Amino acid sequence: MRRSEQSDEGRAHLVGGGEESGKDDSTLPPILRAPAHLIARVFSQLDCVDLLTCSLVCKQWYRDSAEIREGWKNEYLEAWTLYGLFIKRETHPPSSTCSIRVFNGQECKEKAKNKEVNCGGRKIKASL
Amino acid sequence: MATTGASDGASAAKKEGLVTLMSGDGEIFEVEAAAVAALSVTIRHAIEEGFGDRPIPLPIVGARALALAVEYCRKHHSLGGGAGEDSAAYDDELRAFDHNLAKVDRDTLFDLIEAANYLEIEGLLNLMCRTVAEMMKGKSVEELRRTFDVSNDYTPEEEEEVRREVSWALD
Repeated sequence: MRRSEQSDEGRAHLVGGGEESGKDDSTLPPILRAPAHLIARVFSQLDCVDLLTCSLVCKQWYRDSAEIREGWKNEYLEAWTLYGLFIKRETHPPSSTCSIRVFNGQECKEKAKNKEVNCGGRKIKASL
Repeated sequence: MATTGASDGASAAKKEGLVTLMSGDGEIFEVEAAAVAALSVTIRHAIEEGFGDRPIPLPIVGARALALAVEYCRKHHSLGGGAGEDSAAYDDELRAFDHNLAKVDRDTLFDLIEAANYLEIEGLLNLMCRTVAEMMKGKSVEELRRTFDVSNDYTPEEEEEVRREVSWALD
């Protein structure tokens, strides 16, 4: 099965770009046989902590999650820039919900006021 | 499935309101055109392009996945009129049907994702992608590798580099 290529600029040394092409698909587990854009669709439903954990599983997941990972990071950096948060994560069990998205808009300001934001369901303290 | 079954598509008598689908592995399904066309963009287009009176070939969809996709179309067409999950028509019966469909074995799950993608059945694709995402949530790297049978192809140095890269959220 053909997998659609995804760009992974600057990390070719790490992911060994294109190495998949010579592999026999039938030996791969089903999840690695599925086209990249479909796996990205699955990844898009994860919170940032679960997504980053997935990127540590194997090189293919690292590549397939690249774009969404970048999105999470940008949101984080944006929040950092906007609200000048110094963020330090507290030890907290991961939850199934993600609320890093509350960085956007009003909710974020309120959260920031409360000096507490959630990152991928994990509470992090923010001091202004 | 009353009207779905393996038969010789070429010789099958054409019945009113039915369309013939041929899976990648050559199995023939006679199904209600209205139900599949309402849910599957690909089949709707094929019918519009005049495939209605001869088998529609679906080369990358296996018989097992096609049977389940057809069942999904039928159920959602008859109960919900093809409306999405946000609709009031998406009631407990449809929810229960979707819930049961999502319990398929892992191989079938991924076959169904690819089938739904090829057939452009948005609701089914969403359902199956969400099911896989649920299987990933809250798991450690090792648990994910075990769950999905994926082996670690990082060298220790590479893994360390990725760990450093994602440390902004994980550490």
